[in-house]
Amino acid sequence: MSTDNRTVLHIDMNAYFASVEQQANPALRGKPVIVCGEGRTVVTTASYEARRYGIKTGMTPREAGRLCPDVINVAGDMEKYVDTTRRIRSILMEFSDRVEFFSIDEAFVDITASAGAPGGPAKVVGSMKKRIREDIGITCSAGIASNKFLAKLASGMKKPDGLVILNKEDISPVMEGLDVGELCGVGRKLTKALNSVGIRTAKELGDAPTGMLTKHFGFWGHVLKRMGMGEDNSPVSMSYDDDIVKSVGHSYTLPVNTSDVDVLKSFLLMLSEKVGFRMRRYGMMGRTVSLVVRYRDFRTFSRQFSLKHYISTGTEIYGVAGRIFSKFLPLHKPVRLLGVSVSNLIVDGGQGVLLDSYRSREAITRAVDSINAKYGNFTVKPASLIIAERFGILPAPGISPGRHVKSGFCRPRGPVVKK
Amino acid sequence: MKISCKKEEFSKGMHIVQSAISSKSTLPILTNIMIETTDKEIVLSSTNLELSVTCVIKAEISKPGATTIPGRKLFEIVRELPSKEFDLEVTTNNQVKLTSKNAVYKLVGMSKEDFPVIPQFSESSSFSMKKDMLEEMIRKTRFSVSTDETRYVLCGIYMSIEKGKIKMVSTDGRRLSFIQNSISVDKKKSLKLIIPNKAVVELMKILEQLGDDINVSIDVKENQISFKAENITITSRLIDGQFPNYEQVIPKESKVKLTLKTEDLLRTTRRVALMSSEKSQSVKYSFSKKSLVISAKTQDMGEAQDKLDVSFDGEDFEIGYNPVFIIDVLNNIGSEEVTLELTNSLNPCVIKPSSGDYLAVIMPMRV
Repeated sequence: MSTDNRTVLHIDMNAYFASVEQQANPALRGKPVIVCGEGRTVVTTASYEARRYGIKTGMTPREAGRLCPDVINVAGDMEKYVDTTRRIRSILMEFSDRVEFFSIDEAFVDITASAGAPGGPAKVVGSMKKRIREDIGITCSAGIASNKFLAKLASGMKKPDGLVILNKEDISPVMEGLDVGELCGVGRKLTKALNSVGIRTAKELGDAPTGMLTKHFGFWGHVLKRMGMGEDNSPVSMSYDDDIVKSVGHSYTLPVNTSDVDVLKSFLLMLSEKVGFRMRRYGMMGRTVSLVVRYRDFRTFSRQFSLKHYISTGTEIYGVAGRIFSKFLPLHKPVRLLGVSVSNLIVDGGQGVLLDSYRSREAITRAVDSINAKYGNFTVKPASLIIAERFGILPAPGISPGRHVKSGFCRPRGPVVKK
Repeated sequence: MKISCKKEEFSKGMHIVQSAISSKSTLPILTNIMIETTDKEIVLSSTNLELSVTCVIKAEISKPGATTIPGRKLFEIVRELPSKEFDLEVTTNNQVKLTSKNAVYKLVGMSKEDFPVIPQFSESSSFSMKKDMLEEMIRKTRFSVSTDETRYVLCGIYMSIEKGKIKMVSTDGRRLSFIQNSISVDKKKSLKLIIPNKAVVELMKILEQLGDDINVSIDVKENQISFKAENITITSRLIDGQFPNYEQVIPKESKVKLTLKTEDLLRTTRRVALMSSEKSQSVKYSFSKKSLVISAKTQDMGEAQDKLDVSFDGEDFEIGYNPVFIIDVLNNIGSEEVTLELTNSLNPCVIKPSSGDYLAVIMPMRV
């Protein structure tokens, strides 16, 4: 396959999580919004309105509040973002069968086949962006070039809502003005190492003799040289539904730190149920269960256990998570956060079951899922979840934006709005 | 206690009892082995509370007694001893002195009183069977034992004795293996129990080391089972619970019956299964006039197909299986030819050898 004459698009959703939340809740539109993890965590995305105040990813909500007292804090809801990504993916798939999600909010699309159409790639991508804006309600930055590496570079050049085409003749001047640290894949350490051998811009990297680079960076020298020259022949691979999700997990920061094992186990069951519900919704099963425990002092420990068989129900996940948790006992300190995730996922292959007891359990799970899908999560739930609920999760009714939520209480999912 | 032992014999015994030593345990005594004297022998014992192994070996006893010593360390030490024999003596405070030629070890032991009591069985209620038969029955059923601990009754082999027959069954909910043999035992004797998989694994390891023509005596008391062969005894706790009614899931009749060479079906399945990914794990068996086409496909990787000539002339149909289930059965069936009994693509398939009271039931996958 010739790789020279490709047309590759990189598309990057702008302030993705915040945009999705703004889309879901009209009251948030046009306002400074930050999306944080559940409970007491840090800013994962700030809307463009919030960025104007200098709010950045990684700040604590308190710091954000200091920069902009009106900022609206929304609890992140990965489920919603994964769903939205799926919808974006199906739009992109209408334009090309080669759509590769690089992460939840950016994708590469090989549009070589449609690039020759009247109006060229710009028109194709323009209508793609229009569809995403109209159907999903969010904007994105796009970059078009002859390979993935340059396309990603191009999409980063104009944000938000940009469309940059990087032609052959543009490459050299762009690389000249570009710090090596800006290149995708070059981190802080590598930048420092490159600087120390006199390479500061991308062009200098491309011009450096391969021998010198391999002397300093071994095998990676070749890769770096190609990056500096803007070369990249990696194909846009097909992505399937299950590739978007490598593991399914939930974590929860407790409203108050606790050492109460019964309470923690109840939360563990709640997380396991949520993970199981989501896995089944995606038609997946997994066999590795991981448990994260963060203590009061932020020291975080994680352990995992792999089974020989695949599981997908909350009870099964809790069975393993509970066993891992017992290894943390006795607890040294009060616990601040618990997290449960399942990886080593496969698509439920439709294996039939022999025993009636299995069949009835499957039927019960299906019935509970359909009730919960219709009437809201945890309409039907294991009784021992009540311990966690009493400890401090508000039940499900919606909270209108702007309304104060008592500190110390948060809902397990959906937007929690704090002022 | 003071004894003299042969290094080689002691090492062998240690090797046997090692299997029940806990490597990490909240109870330190469980990492120890117990040495007890009888008249002319010593008994080595280890336990992890679920499973215990004892082995009797010859020794010269100068002073009877008992002690417990860290098991793995002792095993390592004995292997490295300079002479073919060694002496072992318990001095005060459970300190153990081990000497061999000029080498002297002092080990910190623990009192016998702290060691868990290993259940004892009276010989009278036991029955025995040939080691070969026991080994074969376990081998043909162990692979379908469940690993799902939330369904603990399936995490072992179900064994029943009734009307002079011994049966073993295992199932993980998706497949099932069943074997039955006649056994010389009082026809009135009736037993139904579930042997945990861990005990099965250790028992098989030990059986494999023993000669062919020996008898294994089996005894059951309360919730414990013991297997005794020559100088070795394995005792295990049984799984407490009701094994599902397996008889009702074994299909009584079928529409299609096919006989195939085991080796052909096994090799073809293996060959084709290479192209079924772990993610989909399904191989398709398509039956049509005189032929069986086996195929598998994985997105992004490719596909494989192979064909076997079979004596089939019913209506075309296809059925999907997890190839591992098929391979497990064929690897262990020990018969040159196998019979497949099928009804349709939703019902379980039965695989039988050309002779012997054995069968495997496998539930298909949606294709």
